[in-house]
Amino acid sequence: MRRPLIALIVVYAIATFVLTLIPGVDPDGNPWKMSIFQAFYFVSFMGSTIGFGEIPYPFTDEQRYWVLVCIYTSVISWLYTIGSLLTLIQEATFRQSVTSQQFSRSIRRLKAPFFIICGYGDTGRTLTKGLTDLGYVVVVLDKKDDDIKAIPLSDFKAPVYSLTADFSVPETLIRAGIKKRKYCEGIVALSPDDHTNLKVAVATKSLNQDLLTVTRAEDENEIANLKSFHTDVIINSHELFAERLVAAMNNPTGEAIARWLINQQQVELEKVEILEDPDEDAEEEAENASNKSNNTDSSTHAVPHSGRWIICGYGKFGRILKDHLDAQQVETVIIEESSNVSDLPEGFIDGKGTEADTLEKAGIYEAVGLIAGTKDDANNLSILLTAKNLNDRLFTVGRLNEQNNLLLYSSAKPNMTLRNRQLMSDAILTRITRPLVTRFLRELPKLSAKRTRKLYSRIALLTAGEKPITWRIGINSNDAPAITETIEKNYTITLKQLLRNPLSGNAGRACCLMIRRSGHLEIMPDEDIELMLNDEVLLCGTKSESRYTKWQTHNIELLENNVLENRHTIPLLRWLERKEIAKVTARKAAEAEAINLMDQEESTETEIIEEER
Amino acid sequence: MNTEKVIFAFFVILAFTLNFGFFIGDIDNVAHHDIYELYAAIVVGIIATILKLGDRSQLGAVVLASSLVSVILLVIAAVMWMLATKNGFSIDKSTMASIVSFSGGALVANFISVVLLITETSLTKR
Repeated sequence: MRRPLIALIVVYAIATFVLTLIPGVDPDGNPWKMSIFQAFYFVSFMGSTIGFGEIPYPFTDEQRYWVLVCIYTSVISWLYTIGSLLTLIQEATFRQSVTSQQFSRSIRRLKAPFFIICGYGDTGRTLTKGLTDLGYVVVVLDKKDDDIKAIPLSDFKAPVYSLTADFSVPETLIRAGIKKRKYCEGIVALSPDDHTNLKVAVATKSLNQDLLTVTRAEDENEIANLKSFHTDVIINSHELFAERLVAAMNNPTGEAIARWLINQQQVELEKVEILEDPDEDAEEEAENASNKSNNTDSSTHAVPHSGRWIICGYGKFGRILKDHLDAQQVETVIIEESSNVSDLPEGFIDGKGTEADTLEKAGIYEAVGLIAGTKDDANNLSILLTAKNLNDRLFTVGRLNEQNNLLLYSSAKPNMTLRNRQLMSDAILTRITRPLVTRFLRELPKLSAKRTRKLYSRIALLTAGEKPITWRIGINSNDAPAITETIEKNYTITLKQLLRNPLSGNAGRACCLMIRRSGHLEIMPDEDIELMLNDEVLLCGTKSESRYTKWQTHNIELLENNVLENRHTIPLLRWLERKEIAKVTARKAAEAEAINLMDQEESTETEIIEEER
Repeated sequence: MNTEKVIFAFFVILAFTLNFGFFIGDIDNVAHHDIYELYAAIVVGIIATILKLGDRSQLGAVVLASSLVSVILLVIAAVMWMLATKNGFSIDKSTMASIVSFSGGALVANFISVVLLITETSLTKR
């Protein structure tokens, strides 16, 4: 870039200099020479082809000869300069360095909570969508340019910054803002290569130890390694799926609730039937509900737990499934080509599973379930269809490897589909953005079967066909200013009052799943429980109800109306009523205290009497 | 030997010497100071500045800064000259003195450039 600039300066300098030497004639016929300033002015507008004319006096022919030379040389040198400037701008490396600098600058200036996602594949995209829907800023890193290019064109609800860089290099992570302790909420490593994820986790833990680190890993050794330095969350999609399959076998109702709570981002709704009255015969109703949802194809309620399961494919997925089913003492038969895998378990059937005779050899007529778990979607589909033809009472599980083949799978209608990416991104999203839900899910299996069913039918009744969602209310001045203010004035607010719908005044379409109070958990608390400062309340209900509770937590007048029954709309009357309520409460408190005191006095008196004796 | 370095040193030293040539002489005597020498000093100074653009070393940054200072001071001197001579007036003594003193300031900046250049060269030799 220096060469054209210097050429331009030299051309201008010589042109100006020579112009001052050439003699001209002024209108009166006197000899005249340009000053340096006049010459420079002339060369400037000549070189840029503006052309104001021959200033200050018409030129002589000698001057015009020189100007002719200058015109061509200056125009050429300008073209040379502009040309090389354009080449520089279009150069890929230059552009990359500019975008990379812009990226660093925007990260430096970022003043909002954000997550870093390493690897922008299917899972990364789903996760980015989920996080931005919740209002988080997302920083995306990927080695490949192709996927990232689409980000500016995508319709995310929060800013997404992206950089094409190798995220296994710690330098990249620092540029992505890993050290911004105040705003960086967590990092998610989603590379398909376990070792790369390990590198990211190590770098994160050494650069910013407190940062929430989520990694995807499938290899056992790498998982052990990740665990050794306290990676917060390790996601193994196969393991996740196997756990849920087993959970669906043992505790179908609990699993159904868990599915509601986890799959909040999914668009497809699972219809829930309305129940008449959950309290009278909760168990039976819950059974009904579960039976009804059996009819929908994605239900897991009918996962049979006694009988033979056929597993097609003995890769990582097949192995993990077999281990989990073995632990449940479920009989399994493996179908796998013996040429592919060396350490097949005893009693395996050699073959692909796509042909009827292999399936027959595995005992398809006696089997209760079949898992098509090979790495090839076409094979899985063929297995599912063949198996259904042979035995249509079979519970089928299909593994979906490519998101694009989802349409094909919907035609095969397996009872359960392993959608690797969806499963992972849902799990990660729940873990990192809704810790209270995560905590509740851990408590869920510990509930008794009766309580689980009660909870299930309760949620089903409340949401009545809509998709249940969960939300959290922290009783503090940030999340719930109205409630905090009211409690600080010594009023009591019960859970029931919080759940009351402010429009109708009746119980709203929501229930409380859990209250966390100073480290102690209260699962499905009684509705008369009093709210206290710094409680964390996890609610579940319809989407519209979540908006109503938000009104109540933020609007003191609405809350007064609802809770303290101060129904005046004129501010003065409202204020007077408030005073009245305060008086009544104060009197009640004083009375209670007096009674307390009297009790104490009595007890001290009796003690004195006892001592005297 | 590096051609680029030779060219750079050439321009820095030329800027310094031209500036010195303009500066030397009685401060208020117009006959002692040539306008074309000032013109050449500005052009060479700008070239030297551009040659130093993009140098990321600490020393390079200081050389760039001092070149910029000298160019700015010389341009101010040239503008004063231009204003003083418009409509055919000749320069009076006080204006000439201030023009020359501006060029004296630029001379110091150019001198710093030359010193830094020599320092840098001696550092790299070892």
